[in-house]
Amino acid sequence: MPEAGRETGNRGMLAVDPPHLSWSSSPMDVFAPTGNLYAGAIWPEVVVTLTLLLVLVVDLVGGSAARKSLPALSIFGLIGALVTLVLQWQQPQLESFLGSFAADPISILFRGLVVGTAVLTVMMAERYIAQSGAPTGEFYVLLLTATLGGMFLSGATDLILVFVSLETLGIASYLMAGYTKRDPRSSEAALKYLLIGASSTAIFLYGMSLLYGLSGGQTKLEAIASSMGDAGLAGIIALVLCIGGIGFKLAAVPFHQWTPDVYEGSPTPVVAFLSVGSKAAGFALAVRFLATVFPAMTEEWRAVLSVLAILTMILGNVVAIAQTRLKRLLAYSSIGQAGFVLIGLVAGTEAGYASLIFYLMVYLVMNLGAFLCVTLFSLKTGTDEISEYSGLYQKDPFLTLCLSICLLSLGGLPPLAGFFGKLYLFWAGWQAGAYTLVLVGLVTSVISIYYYVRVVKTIVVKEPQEMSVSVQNYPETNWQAEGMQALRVGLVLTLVATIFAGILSNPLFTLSTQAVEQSPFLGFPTAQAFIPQSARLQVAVKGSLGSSAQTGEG
Amino acid sequence: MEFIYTYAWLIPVYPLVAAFLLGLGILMFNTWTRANRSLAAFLSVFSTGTAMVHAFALLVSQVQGHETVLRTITWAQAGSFSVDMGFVVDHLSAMMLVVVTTVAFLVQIYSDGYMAHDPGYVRFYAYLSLFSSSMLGLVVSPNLVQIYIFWELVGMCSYLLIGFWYDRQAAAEAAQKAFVVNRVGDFGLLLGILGFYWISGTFAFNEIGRNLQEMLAAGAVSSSLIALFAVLVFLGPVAKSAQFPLHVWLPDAMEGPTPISALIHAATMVAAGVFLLARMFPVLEGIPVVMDIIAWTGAGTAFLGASIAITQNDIKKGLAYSTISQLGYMVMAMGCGAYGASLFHLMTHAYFKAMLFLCSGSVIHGMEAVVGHDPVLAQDMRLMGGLRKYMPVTAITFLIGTLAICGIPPFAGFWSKDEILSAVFERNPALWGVGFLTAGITAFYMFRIYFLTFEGEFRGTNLRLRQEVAVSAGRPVPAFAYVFAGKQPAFGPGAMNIQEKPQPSSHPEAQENLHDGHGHASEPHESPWSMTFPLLALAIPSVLIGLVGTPFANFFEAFIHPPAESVAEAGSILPLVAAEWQEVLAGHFDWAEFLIMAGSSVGIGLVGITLASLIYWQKRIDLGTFPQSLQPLYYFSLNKWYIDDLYERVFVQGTRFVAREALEVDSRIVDGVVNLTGLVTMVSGEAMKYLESGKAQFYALIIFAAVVVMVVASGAGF
Repeated sequence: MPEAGRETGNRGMLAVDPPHLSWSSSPMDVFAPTGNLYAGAIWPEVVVTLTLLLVLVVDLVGGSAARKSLPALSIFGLIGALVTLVLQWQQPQLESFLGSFAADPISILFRGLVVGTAVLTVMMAERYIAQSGAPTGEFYVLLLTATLGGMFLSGATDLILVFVSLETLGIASYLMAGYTKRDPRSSEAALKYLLIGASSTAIFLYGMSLLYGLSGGQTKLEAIASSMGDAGLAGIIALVLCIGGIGFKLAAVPFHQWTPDVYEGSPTPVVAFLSVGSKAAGFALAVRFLATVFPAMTEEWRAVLSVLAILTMILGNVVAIAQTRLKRLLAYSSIGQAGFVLIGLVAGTEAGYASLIFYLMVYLVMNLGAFLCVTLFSLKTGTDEISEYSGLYQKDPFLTLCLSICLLSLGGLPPLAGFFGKLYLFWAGWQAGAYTLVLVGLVTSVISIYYYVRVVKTIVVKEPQEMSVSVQNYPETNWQAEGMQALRVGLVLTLVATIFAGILSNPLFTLSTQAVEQSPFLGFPTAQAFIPQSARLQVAVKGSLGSSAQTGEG
Repeated sequence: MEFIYTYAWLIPVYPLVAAFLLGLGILMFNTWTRANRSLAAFLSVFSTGTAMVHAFALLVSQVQGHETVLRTITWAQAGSFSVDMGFVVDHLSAMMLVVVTTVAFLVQIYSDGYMAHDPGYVRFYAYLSLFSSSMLGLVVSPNLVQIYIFWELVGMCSYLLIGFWYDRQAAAEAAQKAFVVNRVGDFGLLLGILGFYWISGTFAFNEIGRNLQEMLAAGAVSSSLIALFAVLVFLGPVAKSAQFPLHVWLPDAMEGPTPISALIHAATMVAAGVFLLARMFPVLEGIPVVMDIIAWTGAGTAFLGASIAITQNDIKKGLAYSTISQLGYMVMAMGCGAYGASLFHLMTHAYFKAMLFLCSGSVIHGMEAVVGHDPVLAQDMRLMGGLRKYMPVTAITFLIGTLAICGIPPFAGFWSKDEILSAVFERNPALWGVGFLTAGITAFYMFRIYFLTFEGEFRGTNLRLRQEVAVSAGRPVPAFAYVFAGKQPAFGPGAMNIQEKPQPSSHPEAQENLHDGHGHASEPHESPWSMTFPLLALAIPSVLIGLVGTPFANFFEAFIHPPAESVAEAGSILPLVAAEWQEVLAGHFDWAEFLIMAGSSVGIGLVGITLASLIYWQKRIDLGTFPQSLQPLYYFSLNKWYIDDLYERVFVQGTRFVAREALEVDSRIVDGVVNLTGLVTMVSGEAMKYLESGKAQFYALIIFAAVVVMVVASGAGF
């Protein structure tokens, strides 16, 4: 079987990693007895890890000239990871590392989202770092580490791996939040983030330990599920504790309090990463964890998440109205946006999960687009007060266009991408009978239109006398400066994607639907057709699990 | 040859690419783009030219008998509801593609000369390309949703281009008016589209008609409901094709640059309404009530436009009312079931009216050299006259266009108008009467424009007259009201009374002004070749294109026919037409009927022309001798049947009144509620401040508390 040969070659290189071992050598199977590791599943992660190491070495060894190549190096590595993800899409690996990690289509899509966020964050950060004069290498190393954590989290199917990757992502994020060391607000943000993160990790860990005990010592998510049916109150407690831990990552109300403080103090690119990449990984965890471990308690977790979703949508959007700084406004709005995405999770249908993934894709481009604009503006003027944006239209039409399009898309105005994303989400929610959620979603998205459009209105005021001081002294954009080209590329990419991802949404939506259908753990009917030979056996188990989940929902 | 069909979707994309690149250039590399404006023009013209070549290839292939090609992709899908996007290439769309691309191509060449001195040159080309793209997309749309999207896009481009000189108050207001009036029609159209979807479950043209027939036959739906939706759909064309009562925006739209008036507001966009009626024809023809409404709306509009055009002094406004009138003909023909005749007139009209507008642009361009860049002066026919001497090419092409629109054989307009009139006569002689009368008025006002502009003495150097015109400032001030009042003019000779020769100005400084001041020339000049070439190019179809639709060997009718009448199909129509010609040559054609119909319409045209030449050229008839009793009629026409004033009273004032009342309610009641909400928000914001204390230990406490609450709440059942 040629495929097996290739996998073995992979693993040989990964497990030992001696430089002299070539691609096809040494079929020795150290861990052989139980079967194959299918280490090819983590190729994208390997690429990111190698990039990370390379960045670290170049930063240590190279001079200041070499350091300038770090962003390009990181982007290069991340794009390499994306390419391997695309290749993996052709042949999903449903189970690897003895059932600890799955590279099924959903995991591939979520990992793609995390990597995509990282690419755009690097584009945003290059100029930011050049201007703030902070050390270069650390940032990329931390960012790549966080990306790695997020990627592993998206595919983890084992309690241990879930915890380790969650902490990899978390700790790297804490460090990134405190990255501008000389800024006391940044340090404060890092410390708070660390403390709250530690608390929620404790909660999550407690939940996991309950699961471990209830299942009689199982760590595989599927294996736990079978013993959850009659777990009673202990099961409920475990469920709530796990949701609490996941809620922290999603910044769902009432586990959101860290967000304003952390977003306020952290460097803007970090905020961008946290608000998209970290959230995407959190949703990946939520989908996989809840659907795999708690199929027997579907009613319960849906009820809890509904409450969280309603609170999140209302609080995120209402408090955003009162913000006077764009960065903080985006922080609160990203809380509200997560609330909308939760509708897809609560719906729990095929369309629900598909629209969740689709919305995250759209949210990635429009939110990062908005953050790119905020970064550019604050780099040029040193402020992100909304009132300081007034009259920007006359000085920088390109920035105005990008920011307006992204904000209007976030607000969900047709024909931009955000509109179609919300349309699919609400439609899926309505079909699944989550009427209250959809109604709250509709009302709060109207509220969100108000505060997004208010910003746009400020930007496009006509009268010169209404121009703010910052805009009056607005410097000419020097695209040649270090990192500016990357910023520009990021702006154009997100702008084009925001405009066209809506009108041409069908391919993306088909992609998400396919991912949902072909990931067996969700248990939707067509999953059987796409299972590779090597994983047939496991699938039989999963399939029955999935169908029990299905009946549980019914 | 299949690849021209496979890639037919590229036709709208070529200009879109140009528009996108130009837009990007303006936004990101502004100075560079402005410095390389000729590149921008080249890009636009080249992309439209490519589209034109492609369109011609499709037309040739269709004429040779290629079957209809329909390609769609699923654009959005949600459950059983799905919307397709794609393109359809059939006879109708192939013909429309050629018309739109040729006119757009020539107008873009023309714009290089016309807009040469305008700082918004590149922006103009970006808009033009965007418009061409939208219009081409509209033409190839296979369903109502897609047509609605492009319908709105062309509307948006029209708005942008009418308001192109947005710093002119009049232009900004005109753009707004066009936009608002079109909203009324588009709302109806949208309701109609949704209604038809509700009944027939599809947006596709070829399926709606079929489904409706089936449902009507099965008695599943009442015919009055279908009629209601058909009328709602018809509201779209009423607004877009400037039919009564939504025609008021089109004359005002002449505030836009003249190439725009030629392309959008004469040749293509306004014809989109007729095009939509043609697409909906299978649905409409089965509902006699709606067909009657359409026919009478068209007839009324034809007469209304012609009667107002008689008294206009602004050359572009005159042509605009003429456009309204001609669109009325097309709609009337559609309503009488004369599908082919209506589209034939659409095609011939597109060419000769675009040419007439471009000629008027050339005239304005020449006049600006004398009177300066003031649209009020440069467009007023009272200041023109005798321009044939200075601008021979413009004059000849304008004359060709005038003859074409008046229906003088063998020019294009004769064949199409004659076909419409004979088709209408068979259906309803009363409608024919209106059309016949309108044809006479058309000949009169078009030759009035021609004589006032190109014949007689040049009056632009008469400073007193200029002052008089400037005072009237575009308002419909009756410049020759004194003719009816029987009084002598207060100052200067009016345009009507041109027997009074313009006197050389007696003010010495004014004389000086004329000769050296402000760079004004004393006489207009012919336009550059980039403007005259499109005129000459358009003159060719204006003369010849009618020959494809002669009643004795009607190639056009054989090519463009309603979808239901697919009789002699599945093959090239060329042999068919050749056979018809042989019939004619062999003397089997019934000439008598043709000669009676044609003779009468040519006759009334000649009457109109003679009258115009007697009044405005030979000056045999003095308007001062007209009876006093005609004065109200004159004012009625000059004030555009008082329709604008009526709308001002009823809709504008009415809306303002309602708005004031609503404001009262708003400030008393809604504000109170809002203030209350604000208070609540502030209080809760203050309260939440304590939650957002910034103390990490407090946050942790909330998290733990929340988990406990959740456990208690969800565990309560156990």
